[in-house]
Amino acid sequence: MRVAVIGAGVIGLSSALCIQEQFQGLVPELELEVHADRFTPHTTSDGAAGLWQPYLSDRGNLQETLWNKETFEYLLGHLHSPAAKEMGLFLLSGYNLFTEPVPDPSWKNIVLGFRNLTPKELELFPGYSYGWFNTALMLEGRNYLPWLTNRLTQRGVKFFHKKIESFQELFSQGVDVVINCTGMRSGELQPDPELQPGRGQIIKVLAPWVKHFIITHDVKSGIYRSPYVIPGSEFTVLGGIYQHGNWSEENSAQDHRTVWESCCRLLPALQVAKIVGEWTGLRPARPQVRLERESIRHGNLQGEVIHNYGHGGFGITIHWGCAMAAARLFGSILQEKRKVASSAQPRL
Amino acid sequence: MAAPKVAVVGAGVIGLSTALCIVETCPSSSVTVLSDQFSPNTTSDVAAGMLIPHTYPGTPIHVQKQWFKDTFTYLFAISNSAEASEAGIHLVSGWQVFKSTPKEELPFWSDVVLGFRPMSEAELQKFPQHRFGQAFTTLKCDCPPYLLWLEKRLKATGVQVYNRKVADLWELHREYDIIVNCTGIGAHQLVGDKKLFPVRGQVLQVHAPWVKNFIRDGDGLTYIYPGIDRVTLGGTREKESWSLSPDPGTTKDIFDRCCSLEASLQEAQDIKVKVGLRPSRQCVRLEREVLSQGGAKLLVVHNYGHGAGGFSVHRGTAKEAARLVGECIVALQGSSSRAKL
Repeated sequence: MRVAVIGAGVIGLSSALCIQEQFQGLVPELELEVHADRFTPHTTSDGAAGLWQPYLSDRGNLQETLWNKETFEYLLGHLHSPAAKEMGLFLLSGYNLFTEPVPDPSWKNIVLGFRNLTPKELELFPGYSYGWFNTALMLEGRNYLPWLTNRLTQRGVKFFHKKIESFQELFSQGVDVVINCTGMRSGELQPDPELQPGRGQIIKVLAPWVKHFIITHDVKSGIYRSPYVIPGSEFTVLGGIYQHGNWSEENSAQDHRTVWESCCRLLPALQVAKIVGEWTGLRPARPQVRLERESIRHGNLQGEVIHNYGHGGFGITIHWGCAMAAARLFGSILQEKRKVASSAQPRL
Repeated sequence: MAAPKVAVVGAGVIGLSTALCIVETCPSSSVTVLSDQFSPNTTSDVAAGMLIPHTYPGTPIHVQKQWFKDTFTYLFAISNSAEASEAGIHLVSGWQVFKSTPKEELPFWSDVVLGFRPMSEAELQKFPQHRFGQAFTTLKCDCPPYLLWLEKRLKATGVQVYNRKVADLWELHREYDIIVNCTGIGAHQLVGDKKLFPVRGQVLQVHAPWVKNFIRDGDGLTYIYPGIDRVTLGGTREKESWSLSPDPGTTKDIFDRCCSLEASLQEAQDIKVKVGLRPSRQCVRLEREVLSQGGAKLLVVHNYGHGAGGFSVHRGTAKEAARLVGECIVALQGSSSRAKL
C-alpha cells in the first residue's frame, strides 16, 4: 500500500513519522513516501523561530487547543532524551506583554509556571502595563526537520524532490492514500479561499545575552503585528509583521525598519546586536486547521486524501497533535480497505 | 589640602566597583587602582556572577539585604539600558531545587529578585530527585565584560589603573593618603588576616547555547548558569584548599552532577576548566583602620572577604566603602587644618 505525503515542512514530516511509527509494524506492505519541491532548510518551518505558543484566542476551535496540548506534552516528554539537542528542543522562559489586562489564554495550564507579571517586572517594559510569564518550549525547525528526515530515512521512507501538480498525478502512479501537507500552496492542488497568506518578516541577530522570549501584543491590531524577540540556539529572531493576503516572499525595507525600530525600543541593548540575516515567510492562515479526509474520484477508482494544512503561525505548536489525528484518519482508511478486502473473499 | 589621593588595591569586581563608587561620591579625590591581576585572571572571572546571595553568618540580615538590594537595583537599570550587552549584564530565569524541603522556604532576598514563587508540581517533574523548588528571575554579571566595562568607566573619569604588586600597604604611604584594600584572598598575605580562608571552587565553562534557564541545587554545590557565550557548570566548596590547579576527577564529577539536572548538557562542547579561591570570612571586612608605624599613620578602608557572594553584594559594599573613604577624607581635612594652626 503506497502512501504519499506531499510537503516536507514540519507538518508533512511529522505526519509521515507518526504514520510510520504507528502502522509500519502492522502493515508490512506499507510503502511511505514524501514528495516536495522544498526541503529543509528552505521550508516555511525552517524560518519560524520555533517557539511553542498558540494564539491568544483559540477562535472557538477547542480541538486545536487539544492538539496544542498533545504537542506540548509530547515534546516535554522528549526533553530529557539524548535526542533533544539534535531535535532543536529546549525550554525557554519569557514574557507576553499587553497594554491592558486580558483574559488568561487557553494554554495557561499547558505551559509551565504560568503567572502574571509583577509591577517590578513591568518596569522592564515601559508602555506595557500587564503581562504573563511562563516557561515554554523551543523546537527549532532548522534542527527538527533534519532530525525528522533522518528518522524517516532510517525507517525506509523514500523522498522525492519534485513538485506535485495534482492529487491525480500520484493516484495514477499507484499511490493509494495522499497526505496533503502543502501548507501555503495547498490552494494549487485544490482551491481553498479560506487559506490566505499571513506574511511575516523577521530579522536574525546575534544577541546571546537575551535569554527570554518577549512577545508584545497590540490587541486591536491582531497577532504578530507587535514586536517580538525570540532567542534561539544560534541567533535571536526579531519580528512583528503579519500581513494578511500579502503573497510577497521578498524582504521589504519598510518592514525591516518597523521590526528593527520597534524591537530596539523594546530592548535598547539590541541596538548593538549584529544582524546576520533576514527572512520572509508566508504563514498558511485559515480560520481553522483543515484536518479531514476526502475521497477523490480518479477515473473509476477512488483515491483517499487526508488534508492537514492551514496551521497559520502555530504549525510547530500544533504539529504533533495534528500528526496523530492524521494517523487516526489513516487508520480508519486502512480499516475500511481491510473490510472491503475481506468482504471480497469468496465464501466456501 | 590638595585633592586626597586614594589608592584602591585590587581589580576584581570589588576593587573596580569600589573605585567607581569613590569617584561618584568623593569627586574631590584622585583615585588610582593598583593590582597585579586584571580580568581575565581575577577570582571574579571564574565566578558566574549570579545575583543569588550568600548568607554571611556574622552580618545582620537587614544589612546583607540592603547590600543585595543596592546591587540588584544598580544592575537592573544597566540591564535595561543600551549598555547591557557591553556591561555583560542580563536577566536570567530558572529554578533552585532541593532534595528535601529547606528549613527556610522564603530566603531573605526573595522579594528583591523578580517573580519569586514556589515551583509547581509540573515544573518539579523535570527534577525527579528533588521534592521542592523555587522559581525566580535574577541578574547575571558576565566576566570579563563587566570588569572591562567598569574599567572603561573608571578610565573615562580619569582614574589611573596600574599593574603593580603591592606586598605591604606601607609601600604606598608616601604616594597616597588613603588605601582601600580590595585584595580578596590576597588579604590573607597582605594584611595577615587569619580569619580569611579560601573556599576553592572549580567550574566548567562550556558551549551549550540552547541552555537558557539556570538550575541550582539548593545545597549550593551543583549549578548551571547560562552566560552570554558560555554556560558555567559548578561546582565545589573546598574549605582551606589553596590549589589553583584544575582537578580532572572533579571535572568529571561536576559534569555528571550537572548532566543529572540537565541531560542535554551531555552535548556540551569546548569545555574549559577554571578554579577560583572564594575569599571567605564569617563576615565581609568592611571597616576603617588607622595603621601606625613610627610616627606615621596610614588610613585604610578594608573591603574584602565576600566569599561566595561577591557579585551579589558588590555595589552595596562598594557604596559603604566609599562612605568610609569619605569619612577618612573628612578626618584628613580635620587633621590638616589643625596642622595649620
